[in-house]
Amino acid sequence: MKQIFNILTCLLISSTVFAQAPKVKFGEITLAELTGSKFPSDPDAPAVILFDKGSVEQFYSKDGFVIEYERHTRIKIFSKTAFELANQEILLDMGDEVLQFKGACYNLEDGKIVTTKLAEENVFEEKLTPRLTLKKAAMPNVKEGSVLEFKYKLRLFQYTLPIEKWVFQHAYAPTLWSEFEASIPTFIEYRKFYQGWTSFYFNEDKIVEEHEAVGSSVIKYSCNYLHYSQQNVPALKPEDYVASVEDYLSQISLDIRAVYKIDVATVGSTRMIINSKSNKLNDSWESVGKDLWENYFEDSFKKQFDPGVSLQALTAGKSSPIDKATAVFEYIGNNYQVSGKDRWWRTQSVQDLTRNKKGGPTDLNLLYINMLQKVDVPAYPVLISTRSHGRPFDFRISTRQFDRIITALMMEDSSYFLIDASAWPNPIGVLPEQALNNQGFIIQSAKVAEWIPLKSSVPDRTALVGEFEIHPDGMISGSLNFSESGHNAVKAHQGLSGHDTLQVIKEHFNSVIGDGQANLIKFESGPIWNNPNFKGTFQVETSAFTQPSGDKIYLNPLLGLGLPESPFKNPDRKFGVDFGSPASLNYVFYFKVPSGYHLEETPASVKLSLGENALTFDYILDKSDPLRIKITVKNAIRKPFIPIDDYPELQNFFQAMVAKMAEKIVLSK
Amino acid sequence: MKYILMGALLLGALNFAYSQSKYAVSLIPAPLLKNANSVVRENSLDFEILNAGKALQTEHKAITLLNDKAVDENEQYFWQSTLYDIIKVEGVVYDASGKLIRRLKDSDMTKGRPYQELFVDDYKYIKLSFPRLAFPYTIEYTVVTRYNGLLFYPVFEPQESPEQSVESAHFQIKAPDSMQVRVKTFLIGPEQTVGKYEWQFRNLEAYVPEPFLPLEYINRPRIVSAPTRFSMEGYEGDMSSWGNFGQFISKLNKGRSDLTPETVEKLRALTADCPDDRCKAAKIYDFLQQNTRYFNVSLGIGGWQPASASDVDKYKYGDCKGLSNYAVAMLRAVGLPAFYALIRAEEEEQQAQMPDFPNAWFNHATLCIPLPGDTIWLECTSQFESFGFLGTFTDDRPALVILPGGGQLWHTPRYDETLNAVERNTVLALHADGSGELSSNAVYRALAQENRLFLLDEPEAERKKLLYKSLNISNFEIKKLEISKRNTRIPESALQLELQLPQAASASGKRLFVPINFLSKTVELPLSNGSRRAPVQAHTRGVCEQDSLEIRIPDGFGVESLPESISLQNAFGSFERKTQRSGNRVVVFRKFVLNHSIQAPEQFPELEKLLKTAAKADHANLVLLLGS
Repeated sequence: MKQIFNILTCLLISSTVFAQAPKVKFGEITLAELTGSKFPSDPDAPAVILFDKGSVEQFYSKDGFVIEYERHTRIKIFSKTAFELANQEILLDMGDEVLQFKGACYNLEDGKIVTTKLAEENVFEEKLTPRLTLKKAAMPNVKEGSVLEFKYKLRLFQYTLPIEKWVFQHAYAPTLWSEFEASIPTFIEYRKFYQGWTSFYFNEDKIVEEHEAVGSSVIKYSCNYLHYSQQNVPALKPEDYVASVEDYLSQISLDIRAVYKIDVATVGSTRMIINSKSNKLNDSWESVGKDLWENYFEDSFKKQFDPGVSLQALTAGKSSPIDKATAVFEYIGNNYQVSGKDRWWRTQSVQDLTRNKKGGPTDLNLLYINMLQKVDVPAYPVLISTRSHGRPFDFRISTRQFDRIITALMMEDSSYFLIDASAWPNPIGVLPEQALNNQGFIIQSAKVAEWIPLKSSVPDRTALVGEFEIHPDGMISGSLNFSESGHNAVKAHQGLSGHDTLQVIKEHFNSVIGDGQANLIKFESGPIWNNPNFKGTFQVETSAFTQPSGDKIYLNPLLGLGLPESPFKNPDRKFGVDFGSPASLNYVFYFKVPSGYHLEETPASVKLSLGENALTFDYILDKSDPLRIKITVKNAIRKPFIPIDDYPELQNFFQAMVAKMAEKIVLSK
Repeated sequence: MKYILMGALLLGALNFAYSQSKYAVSLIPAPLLKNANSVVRENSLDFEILNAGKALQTEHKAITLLNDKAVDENEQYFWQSTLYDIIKVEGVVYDASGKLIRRLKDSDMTKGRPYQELFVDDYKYIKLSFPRLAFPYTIEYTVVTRYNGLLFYPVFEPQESPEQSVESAHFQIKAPDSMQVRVKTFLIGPEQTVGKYEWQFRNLEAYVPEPFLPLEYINRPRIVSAPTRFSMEGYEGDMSSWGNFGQFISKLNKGRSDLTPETVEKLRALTADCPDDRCKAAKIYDFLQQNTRYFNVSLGIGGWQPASASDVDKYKYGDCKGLSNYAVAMLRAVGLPAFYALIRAEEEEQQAQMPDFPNAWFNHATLCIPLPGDTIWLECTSQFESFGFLGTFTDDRPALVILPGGGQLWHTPRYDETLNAVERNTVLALHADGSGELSSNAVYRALAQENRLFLLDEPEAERKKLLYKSLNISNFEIKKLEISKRNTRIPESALQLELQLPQAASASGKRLFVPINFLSKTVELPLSNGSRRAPVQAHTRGVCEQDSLEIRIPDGFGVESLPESISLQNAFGSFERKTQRSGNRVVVFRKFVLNHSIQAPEQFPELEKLLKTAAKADHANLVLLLGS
């Protein structure tokens, strides 16, 4: 066994410095690939991707320009947990043609390589929709130690590249060699955007001349040849407090930069395809804004349309832009259904939308903006990327980063009030968490477009004020006044319908009530939809947060509200921390000391901050009145994204905060 | 996840005669609004049996959605397969006043297939997407389904969840006299039975769901119906007894158990050295686990026929039926008595099968080997399970064993609090600044090791990541983490931990507040809401947890407050804590047992008392004082 292991080590280590690109032919497997039971640089990996290559070629044929896409993958399975990699899928669009599809599984049996081919009965086809078909292949004879190989080639029924990006890195296994090449006629020009920290082996981009004989003539044109590869790319697993792991995998994206009109110059029997005027896209953010405004928004906002409702009647008696916007938001919420995937572009005409009363988030927001403009509310589109779609970067000039349009109202002080018209029944200033992803790109006119931070106008805030009495038996009684706004308050509100208010409050404030009793004193506001606040007062009696012992009482002055543990204990972290949106907590508690007792020991006051007040924590204990202790705790997230470089500092911040919140007050007789 | 999905899904329908404001929310009787997220205004399920293999089902339903928690009702899925086909589907939505807002069009109905990575099957669905209006509003649909192949008759539950109330519901089965329908009812009153196969329900109120329900407790009306004679894709069967239904399954499996002579030879060689049958069975099971994987191809005969043993042998993959059938064939090839068995799998479904009412509601296949004095069950879809051990997926329930003479219900093994155990020994070396090193050895046994298994499958870095997330300690760094599993008949896994704790104790001034439970803290209490309706079960399987924590006190500190010893025992289990001080050490011994026995509703406060005692005790601190 030891010897076998050495062979693999040799192979893999030598392959980490490939002298040249590996030449992998389907079916030509080496003994070294089959031996060995782990991957040296990641011995726990359940599998390793030995080879993964994608090739795209767009060329002239008798059918005009066609695209062929080839994918060739070889995977070594180490343990049973990776058996699922033996099931592969290809998604086919209508008209796509499978030119080749083969697979094989190689095993070492008694020192000999045994090949099991993927047979027809191992391939299944499922028609997902009238357009889309899924081909599923289940590789036979897979064991620990098997090497699997898949290769397919498709001719595609489309004009632009079949893949927007090539991903060199995977969450489930390390990759030994990953390669992508593309040959694309120059009449479509792509800009490359690389993300990740792993380095390239090939990183080529050049122009080559191509010619194809078609009938009696020869067609000449030039192509961009792109060629990238990486080797020894480690696996990358998702972590908490990250919007999307996609943001971090090493990958290269290809964004269209320009599309050229083409001319054909004929010289004898040779016909040359020459680029002429170009339509430049994605050249700068200014040009993106101008282009979108002129070709997309301006026209649709100017166009007369029948909103299917009298906007004047809807906004009658409302004067402020917010009031008008609220009325229209409520109308859309009540009459339209959100349906369909997130796309940054319109998926149907306004006419269809007002007739069907159903559309994607972008459709509804564009309709909303349109309606608001008709009643003279200054509303503009903001392109955003939802959290699951990944973080948008202002240095990558491409609309592909976006997947939704939301709405911005321009306020009198030139600030923006952001609304997602598809977020009903959220109160109007509360953006859905999915939409709170860093920054968005607002377009106000052909000339004015800029990046703005995304945040709810209604802050996520919790404020509690408690007035408590400590009893000698350890019981704490008193009243707690609560005032919350934002996402938590909306959730609490939505839980109220049809339910006992006290029960909802008991669950919501379980960390204050513990094993004790609660009675509601006051509760503000009924369950109307546009209420981002949750406010009231209740009486509480609990012994959960004290420990009487002899002549002492130990009291946790934060009751059960202290953060019990740091969410950032793991010292190994690769990604920045994303809290989603700004938030703040504010507690002020008074404790009346029982008669006959005095304060023996109290926690010291402390102030913590991270970065330039991105996170702050204040803990102030005021014992100027020895019979009535006052404790104030404030915690705020002002900048929700903490870059990975600040992670050690963030760990310390949370460690100190958690420790402080666990400290006790000692009362003595 | 690894089961067959053979459920014929319940569909139904009715007439669309409504007056304009029939569904006005104002017409809902006030008691039906209490505790409810939705109200079923009308529900009518009409099942018309034409012959042994054909039926027509019409379902008509109107539901008022009261709030956001009912929003899932906005999308209704109706299933189709080769055995049943939807021939009509309609939907309408009304606003709060009962005004018709919209009739659904083709564009509101999406046809699709469920996407499941490990499945190939022929299920399709039609999804109705209703527009979302301001709450409250009402959706209404009618669906007519034609059945061709009838293993299932409907299960009718007028009230689908506690937080749903019902204004009116009606269920009827029509059958020719020659067809004998069998029916089993739960919580149905005489006034609700209005005909031979006809039931009418009115004003069923919603209620607050209660925690700690026993699995077998049925708390809402239910009618289960099933065929006597049936036919499906050319196969005829009889379900009047388990024996007869078993014969039907035998028929489906017939001729699918052949192995090639080479394979038989290989298996005989593999087991040649075995002194007894148990050893042979274990070797075959190990061979199965090493050489196959789960991949579900459910095509043909409604997904009830296993792939042939020779195909599974060739391809090395299969679903629960194919793998079990293959394993049975292999075991028989080496001379063991092995039998294919159907079972209703899933942790929550343990008590769902009805032994006195033969039916086809199975979702998984397994096998058993009745050796003298020891019946061995094998889970064939897992590459990791211990030989002869069943997890919560299939434990303690009846399985239909397919014997040569027909089917018989045999019971799978039970694992209770005497077997499901955690034993943990922990030492905390504490320093004067409150930091400390914690080292712990824990053994998890039987079902208690199931929830540790996720750690085994993961590489080192992921294990750490998961532990950083799952341990409820304020802050720590993992210095050592070792996990191992012993695949004994009652499996055990061992977890060894060494942690560095920057704040093992909270230091304030002269004192150290030391938690006396780091690794097994009891969390979150159930909130009592007055009277209890349902019987109570503390733990569906039963579990016993034992901890000993030794705290080494830093020099210069004395004990100011030592949590006292506690002992509480009642019908639900027991909690015991003993604290002991000797020199510069404090030892905290803790034993917490939750029984699987079921107690009467009025006993609920006793369970609360037990859990509260444990939670309070687990959050106590040892208080150390400098210079005392």
